[in-house]
Amino acid sequence: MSEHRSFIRKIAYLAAIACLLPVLFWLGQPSTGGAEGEPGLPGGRLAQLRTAEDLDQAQLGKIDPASETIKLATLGLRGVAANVLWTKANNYKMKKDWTNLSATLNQITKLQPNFVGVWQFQAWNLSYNCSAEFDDYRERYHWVIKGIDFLKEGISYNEFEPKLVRDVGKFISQKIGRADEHEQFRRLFREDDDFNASIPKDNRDNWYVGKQWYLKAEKLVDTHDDILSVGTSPLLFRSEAPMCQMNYADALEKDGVFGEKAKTQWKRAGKEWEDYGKLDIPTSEGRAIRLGELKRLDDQLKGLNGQLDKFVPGAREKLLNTKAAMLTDPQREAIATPLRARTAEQHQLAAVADELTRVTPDEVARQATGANRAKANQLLETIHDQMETIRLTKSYQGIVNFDYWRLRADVEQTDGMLDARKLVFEADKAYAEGNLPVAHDKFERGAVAWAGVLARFPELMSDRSTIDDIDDLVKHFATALDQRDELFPENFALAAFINFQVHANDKLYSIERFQEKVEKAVAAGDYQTARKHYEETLGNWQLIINDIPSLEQNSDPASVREILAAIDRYAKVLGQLKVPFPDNFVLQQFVWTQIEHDPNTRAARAAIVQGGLLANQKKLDDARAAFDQGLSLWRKVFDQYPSLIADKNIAEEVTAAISRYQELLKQQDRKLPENFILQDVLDRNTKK
Amino acid sequence: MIVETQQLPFLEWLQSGPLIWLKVVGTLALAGLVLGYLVAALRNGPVAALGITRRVLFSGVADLVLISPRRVWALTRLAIQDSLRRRVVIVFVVFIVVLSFAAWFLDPGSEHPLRLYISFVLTSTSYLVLLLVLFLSALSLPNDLKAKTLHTIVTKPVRPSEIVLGRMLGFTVVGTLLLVVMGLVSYLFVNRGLAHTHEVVQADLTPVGQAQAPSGGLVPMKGFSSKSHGHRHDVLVDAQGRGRLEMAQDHTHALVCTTSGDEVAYEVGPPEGLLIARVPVYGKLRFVDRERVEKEKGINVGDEWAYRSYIEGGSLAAAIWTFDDVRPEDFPERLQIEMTLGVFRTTMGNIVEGLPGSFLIRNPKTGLTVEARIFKAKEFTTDVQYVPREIAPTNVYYLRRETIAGKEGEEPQVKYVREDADAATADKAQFDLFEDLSDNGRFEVWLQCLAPMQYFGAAQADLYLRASDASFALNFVKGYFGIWMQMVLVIAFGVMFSTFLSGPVAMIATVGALLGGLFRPFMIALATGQTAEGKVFYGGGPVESLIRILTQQNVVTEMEAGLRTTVAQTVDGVLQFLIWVMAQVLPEFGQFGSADYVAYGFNISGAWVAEHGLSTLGFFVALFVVGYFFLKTREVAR
Repeated sequence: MSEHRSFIRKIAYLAAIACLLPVLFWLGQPSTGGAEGEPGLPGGRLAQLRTAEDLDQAQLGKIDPASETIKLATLGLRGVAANVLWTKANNYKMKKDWTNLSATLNQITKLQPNFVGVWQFQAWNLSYNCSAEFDDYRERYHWVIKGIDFLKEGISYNEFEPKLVRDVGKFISQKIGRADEHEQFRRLFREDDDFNASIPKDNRDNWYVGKQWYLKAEKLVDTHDDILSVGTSPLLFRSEAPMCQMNYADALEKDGVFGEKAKTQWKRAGKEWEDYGKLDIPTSEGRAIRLGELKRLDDQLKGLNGQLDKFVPGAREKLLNTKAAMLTDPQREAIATPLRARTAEQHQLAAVADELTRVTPDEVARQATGANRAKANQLLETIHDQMETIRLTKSYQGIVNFDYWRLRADVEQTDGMLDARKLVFEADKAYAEGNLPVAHDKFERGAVAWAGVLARFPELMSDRSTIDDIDDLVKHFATALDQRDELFPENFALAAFINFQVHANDKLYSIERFQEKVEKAVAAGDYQTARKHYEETLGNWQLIINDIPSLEQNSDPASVREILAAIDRYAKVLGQLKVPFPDNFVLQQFVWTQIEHDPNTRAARAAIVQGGLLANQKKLDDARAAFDQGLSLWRKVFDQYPSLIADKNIAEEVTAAISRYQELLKQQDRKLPENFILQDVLDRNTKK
Repeated sequence: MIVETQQLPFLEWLQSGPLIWLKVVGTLALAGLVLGYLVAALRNGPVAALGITRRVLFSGVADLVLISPRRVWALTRLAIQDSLRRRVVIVFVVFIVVLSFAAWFLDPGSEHPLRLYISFVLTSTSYLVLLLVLFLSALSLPNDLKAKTLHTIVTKPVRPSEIVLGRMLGFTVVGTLLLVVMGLVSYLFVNRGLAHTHEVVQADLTPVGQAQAPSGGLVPMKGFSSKSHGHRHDVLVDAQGRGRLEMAQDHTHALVCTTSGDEVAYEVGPPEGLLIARVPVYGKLRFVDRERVEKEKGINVGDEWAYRSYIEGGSLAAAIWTFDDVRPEDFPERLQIEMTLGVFRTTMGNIVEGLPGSFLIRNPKTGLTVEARIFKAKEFTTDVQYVPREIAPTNVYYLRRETIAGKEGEEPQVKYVREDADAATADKAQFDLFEDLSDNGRFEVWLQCLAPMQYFGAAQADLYLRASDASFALNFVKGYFGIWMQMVLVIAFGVMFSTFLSGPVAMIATVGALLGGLFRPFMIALATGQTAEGKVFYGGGPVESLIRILTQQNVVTEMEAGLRTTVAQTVDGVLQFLIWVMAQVLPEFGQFGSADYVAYGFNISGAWVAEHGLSTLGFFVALFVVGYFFLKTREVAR
């Protein structure tokens, strides 16, 4: 009986299995790749779903038996296992156990090879955080490369993941090219035969290689419609490759590569940037824009406004006049004042006035009547649309600094700019090698070349990076000059540029305003107020000198003359007030540099020294003549630089000369004349 | 190598370890006795209970003392047969399978391949063996009880103690055999896995400097080797054709070059220095701050991991290691100092160069101090520095120890004051390390950082003297001995629990007891309200913590006084005592593992082996006795 029962049970099981098999087959049959050119079988339901959702391992990237084994071995607990490993990895990182950290990261990615975030996060960890822990820059480089290799391994599992490809580009370009130790990193990268095995030596520039990866990421996005995210906005994503090209060209010059190679790369950079400007960039508001089309859009808008005006001739002017009539007097005055001369209050007033007098297309359209009204309204819609596109384009341009880079590429490929860069590079090199004459010559020629560039592209005068570059040049030139105890030549080619910087300095506005007040005070005979304003003026000049230290060395003779004139006027006001020159005069250092390089000072010193020598040789008359000459030259210097009287060091030097002179006179039974030319110096110093 | 807990010398340990054991075992025995009496009193009344307790005690002592080795051996054999019947060999097969696929997971390009290989084999072995003995020990007795096979044994003239001991020993023998085989295979695996060689070809070598070969002879050359096992070496060859492949991945290779005509052939030897067991002589570490005032710790540079303490560069601050009993015969020619420093820069400084540091050697008795060596720091690698026996220093002076008044309410402090050496000492050209600078084998090494605004970090184990090396194979065996001890603990716990719990529960209890051991420091901190470093452990006991969580109260603020707090803290008092007892009873399981020593190439000291061996024995004996009494309470065993 029981045997019979167990037989029936077995049959029932078999039947159940047989029934389930087709279902299992329908669900689980694997898909098969067809022979060359022929489609394979789509497989069961699950396989089809996998294909539809792109979850097929074969579609994501390589199939790794190790990874598959580990995944299976965790019996569905791989999420838990990954979490445990993640905690372990953090612990290893904290304890700086780099060997185990790498091993653990390896295990995590074997568990979850298609979790892109893990690859990204841990690659960053390796290249940026772990590498920074090492003291030896070679080790640091090694860990940066480790992070990049990690990303590359991630790509082998996720072939169609632009985020990883983009990250490789980012690490190679930005991490190697922008780190504090970029010089060393770039060199190691060029020498790295293991990492760059497939790249010819000539192309082993991190910016160049990084660009290729960015392009690869772009290609992935272009050839796969289903990629939802690249990890950043399309605006930035598309700018990365051309930006790499810019940086490549720039880095070449920093490495001392000029001439045709640099020029070609800048040309390419300019071309790629133009192409970038022609791309349709989707915006957050849905519409696509093209960064390079702002001018065309502006022109179109003008045309549209012109069309609108045709529907209501003269309306715009009328509206403008009505609005202008409503402005208050201070507002009008503010608008009339040139931009730089406006006070803070006037800036505000002018902004309000601008807003009040703005005539919008809507206002113009509202003036239309009859059949024109409908047409005007229709046109108005187009105008609004156009304005919105312009607003977005401008805002997006600002994000990537579009205009600046376009200009930069244009400028850099000119022969003048290439010359300037080359000369400055060679000058710096000569200076570092201690070859001062060559450095001097190259700096001077570099300045001339730069001046040429500025004349051709005046908009560079207010460009930050140009200002920094020229600042460096001027600073280095100044140090070189200082070593030879020289000032900038009177015809220094970049004087105009420095003068422009002086005038762009906001402290100059204050100086100009004080000037007006001073004039008023002097006219009214209020010297006390004039003195106060002069002191503020001179204080501001010192602040400007702090910002532009080369001024002290006469890099801009016009400004130097202005400062000296201001000191002169100040001294006169003090004279009117019968007040001695104050001891701690703010511009003492500046004045000191000027007199040290003044030919009169040098001549005066030479004469005094000569006098001393003659006195020693007992040629008393000749000695006296030399002293007379020397002291009268000093008088000239004191007259030229009235603040000098407050300079203790100079006063000491001169008093010493005078007492020597007195001794000399004594030997000849003479005395200082009543109206001795340097009596004021003597008085001031003997009193103390 | 990182040593976070200091190893006590064996003799010192012997003064405290066994005492603690006796205390704990005594307390437990007493508690067991009282508990047994109470249970008996409840059942049979207090007077009869006295008799019962006495009887149990006597028979217990008799059972434990009169164990017959012959019967135990018979039962051991039974346990072995039982294990073999359960196909323990499968574990070995699994192990072989794991090893054959290991190459997939082991990165040959790792900086420290030995660490990876050793961690891998030791971890996989211990997981497999521990899992196996866990199953064997926890399931065996309950299965026998269930299948009533135990009844056939207890009818024989054997004592319950012999049954328990027989099981424990039987499983230990099986595990040991398995470990021996696995150890042999692992050793071969590591040896084979790390063996490699490189090729050196002339095209990769360039002459050093402008050297010209005298009539076709050899010139000094440098270059690099071929890539193998994920790395390549820098190569240096001298004019005699002798050369070496420089340190990479913790090893070097010898290089011999032979010339035949114009052809030069290079032969690369096997890796050297990879499979080692250094015998370090550790010193005791203290610090002085920028004014040379003695401190227990240096500066914290904000590192999350407070293992290393830092000293400020360009100041008088120093890390000082005091070495005791250093014998001249161990260091006949020079002192080999090995160190792993932490480097912390507050400014970028010179990117290309390492930070400069210096060693001073000071005689603790006379205070005589010489500047022995200036070096460039290397981070995350074992930097080897040599100090010759005869030191010709650039700088000689005395550092006198003075006691100065501490800040208000603080202890007096020790300050080291520099005194110029007298003319005779200052003019001396050479100082002998052992005669001039040591006080009967005791001397101090002062480490200073010479770069201002930069810091060196050091922990006690970061700097040591290396006298000689022990055998790597023996060290490997000691590594396996660590696993063996862990295995014995698992078996002892498993068998003990299985005497009164059903199989699966005994297994969970065993795992629980061992995992609990991992949290021992936390449990002690929780029970005593103090961390191991002597800091306050905030938050109170379990009940107080619960209240704090529910009321979202900060752990640092005082609890509001009142009935609730009093009740909570009283209950906590009892719970904390229980936690404390539990923490004392549980073994610190992780401490028995010694994989790190082998992996980092450090010799496992005899003291370590002895201390942990004795601890294991202690647990084994205690657990055996407990297991015996539990089994005795079961009807079947009476």
